[in-house]
Amino acid sequence: MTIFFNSLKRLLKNKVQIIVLLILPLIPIMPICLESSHSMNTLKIGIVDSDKTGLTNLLKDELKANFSVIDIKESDINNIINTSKADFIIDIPKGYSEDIINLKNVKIKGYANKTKDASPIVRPFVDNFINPIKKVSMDSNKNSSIFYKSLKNINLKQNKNISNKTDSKDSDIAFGMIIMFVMFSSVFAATQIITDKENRTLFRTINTGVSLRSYMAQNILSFFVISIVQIVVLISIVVCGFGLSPGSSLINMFAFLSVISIVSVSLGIAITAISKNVTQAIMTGIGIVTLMSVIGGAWGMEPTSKLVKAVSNIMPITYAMDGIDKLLNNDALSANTQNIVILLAFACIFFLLGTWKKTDILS
Amino acid sequence: MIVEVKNLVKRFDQFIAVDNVTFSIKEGEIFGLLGPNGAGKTTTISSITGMSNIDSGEIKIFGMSMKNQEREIKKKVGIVPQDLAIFEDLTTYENLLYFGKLYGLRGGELKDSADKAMEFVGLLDRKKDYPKKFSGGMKRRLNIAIGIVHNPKLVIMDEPTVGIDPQSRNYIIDSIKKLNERGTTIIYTSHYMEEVEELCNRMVIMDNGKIIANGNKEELKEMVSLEEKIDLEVSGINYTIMDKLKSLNGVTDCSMKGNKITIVSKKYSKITQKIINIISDSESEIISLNVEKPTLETVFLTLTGKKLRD
Amino acid sequence: MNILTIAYYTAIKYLRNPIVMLTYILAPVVIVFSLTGTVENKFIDTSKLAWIGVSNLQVTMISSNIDDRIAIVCLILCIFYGCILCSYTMISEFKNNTNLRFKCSPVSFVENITGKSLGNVGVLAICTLISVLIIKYAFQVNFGGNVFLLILVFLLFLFIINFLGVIFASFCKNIYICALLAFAFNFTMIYPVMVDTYSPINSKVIDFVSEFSIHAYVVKAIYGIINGDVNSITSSVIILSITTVGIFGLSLITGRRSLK
Repeated sequence: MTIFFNSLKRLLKNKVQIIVLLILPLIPIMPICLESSHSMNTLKIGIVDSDKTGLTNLLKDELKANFSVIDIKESDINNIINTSKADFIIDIPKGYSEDIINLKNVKIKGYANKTKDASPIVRPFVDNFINPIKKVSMDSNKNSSIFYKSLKNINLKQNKNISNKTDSKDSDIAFGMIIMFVMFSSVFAATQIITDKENRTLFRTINTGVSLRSYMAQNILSFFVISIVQIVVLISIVVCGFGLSPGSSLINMFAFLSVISIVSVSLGIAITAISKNVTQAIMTGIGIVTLMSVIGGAWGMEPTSKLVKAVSNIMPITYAMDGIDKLLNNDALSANTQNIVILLAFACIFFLLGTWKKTDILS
Repeated sequence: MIVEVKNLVKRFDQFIAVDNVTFSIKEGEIFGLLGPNGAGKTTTISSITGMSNIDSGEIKIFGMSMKNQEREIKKKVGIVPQDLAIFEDLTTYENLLYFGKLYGLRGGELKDSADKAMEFVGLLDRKKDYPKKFSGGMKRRLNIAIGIVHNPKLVIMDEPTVGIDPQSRNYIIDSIKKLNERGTTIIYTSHYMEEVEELCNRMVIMDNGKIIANGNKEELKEMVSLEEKIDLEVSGINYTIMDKLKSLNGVTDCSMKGNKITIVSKKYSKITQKIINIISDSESEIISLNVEKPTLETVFLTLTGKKLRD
Repeated sequence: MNILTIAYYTAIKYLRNPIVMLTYILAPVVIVFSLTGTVENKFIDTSKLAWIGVSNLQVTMISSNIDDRIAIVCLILCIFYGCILCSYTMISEFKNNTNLRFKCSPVSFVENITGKSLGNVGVLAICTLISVLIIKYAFQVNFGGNVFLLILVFLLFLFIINFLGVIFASFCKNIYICALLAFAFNFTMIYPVMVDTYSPINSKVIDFVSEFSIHAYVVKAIYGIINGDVNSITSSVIILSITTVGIFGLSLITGRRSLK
């Protein structure tokens, strides 16, 4: 295990490297963690209430219980949609309540963004609210006082099956950043093999009688240990320090991230196998990891283009983020079996890519 | 004097790398700067070229002070560093044009100078090639070409032949001689004593930041050796010959082994002819005769000691 | 003349390298292509939800320019990685020892840095121009408004990222660490802009970070140019200009200590 300990020593040899490994990842994670608990995933509804009656107030209260609601002016509708300050706008026309009581067929106006249509969520909500009220108005015989009395007796509260997913998107992005940095670190750690080749210490090592397999295995183990240390430190800071939720079980999250670290190490080995020198390996690694992270959803954004979605299906980060998502939704680790198998398959492919070329060293 | 260094001192924290060094270099000479590793040669060169600031002392190049007229001085000085300093992603020609322009050459003069520099080092046919495809010797030659493209009056060469094959080394040494014949003053450092002996008119030997010897090669050899050794191989030896040889004025030791005689005599004894006469008179034949004089390497090791340096 | 000479040769080294050129041209294009219109991540799978019958809600679709804004933000995000190129320019000279030649030549440190900066900015400007043209004409992103102002804003941004690259290189002559510093800085600066684009919220943290975010001012300036908002343009350009000068000064100070 001499090579293993030597490799660890080299990787942790100076303060700069330790800072880069453990502290630097926190810089982009901090604003994500410190941001208010307001979830990016909560739908924002703008309301233009031109009617201002008890009924419309009830509707507003029910909307506030399920969404993030802002009151706006009718003149601002286009601007609000264009600047994404609201995802959907409900415009209650003047006299709406009276028309409902008088059994007129009136509709609430809705405005949605063409590119991110929220109407499939809002429409059933509104229908589930208004349809019972229409029944009440039929029974109240166009009498407003009977109508409002009857309203108090019915349950207008919606089931939260059209929920907003109360899990914060912030946790997703924070763990996505952790995965990114673990991958960066694994690429950098793996460049140690190229350095050994360049300064000929690899040949010295092989000539001592240590087999190439043993050399590679010990180095890979050291890279894995480094990424585990990094994961432990970063999760501790993010969960215990910043209070971000790791899902139902921190251990499950750690176990899943350990699987991801195997993929990271194998990716690092594969990248160094195809690179001629350290600089090339680092730049290739950073480029590949960044692209995979953006397309795979580690930055909180997922592609909608079919082509890009198809490409994202052959990237390990897509499955990693899917797994993180499931764990953050309090699913058990077993729900991630498929993702784990796929990630381990990626790891095998990367290892094979990375290690088959090493045989030419001896020849 | 083209270079005058007076009482140069350079410190790195508490460590004195160059300790009151004084020397001067005449125009047109090849000046050797020798010393073991850590002697202070590179620091001295860095101070002369303006790469590092000095703590005290004075450096004048072309009669100008480094402190006040650095830019003017640098235009006339060329550097050939020990480690290759070339752009591998520019062609040979572009490397020369780039640095030529930085030294103030323009237009037709620049192109002429670049062509001449390439011709000088034998790379004219590789004008449009990239150095990454070159051998080590060719890269060294390009390294030299870049240092001389602007026709400097003073060229500083820091171990220009390290790590290359004998053919390339010979070519470079011949090129340096030609450069000197053109009037360029050269400061030359090397660990290859035979090169220094062949090239340099004068040299200083440094050790522990101080100059311990200064002069031409004959003067330096005189410093360390008072004796000469003569090796003879003769067809037949007898005790009469040996007695006669031992009795010669100036001979301090005379020994034989088989047909070989070794005679140690004081310097300038001028006994070679007498030895030949004694052997001829005894009806023996001289098969070979070799007069061994002290080399620069002997001088170097004697003055600096044989202990390994850091 | 030395500055222009250094700029010229710095630029041609990269212009000849197809990998560098393709990376800096295609990266923004690929990212914009991937992410344009990608806001449906906010919603749960709605395929399970269906409504039958007549609805009480009459929905009107509004075409928004959200894609344009996402494209601009992604472009700024990718352009920033040009600072890695700038760091590499500084670091590579230590690796191939040509820094010795510059030290011995009659070229001052300021001329050296300025020349290299011009060269780097020139290369990045060409790559940015090509990316913008592809994004504008292939993806139909609106880059309207005063072209000269757009060029000015982009140039200021490119100079800022160049000098930041010099600062990163002066901290550590290791390209990996410079790249990570660039990533961390970039993400922190772009985060408030991304939040504002995708889903604006009231957050003191976001507001605080965006006060110091160069990216926020660049995006604000570009939106201002597209929408003809003179106040936004003026304030952003002034701040960017002051930032450029300030970061240039800082790069000279930090560079003199460790890159000279």
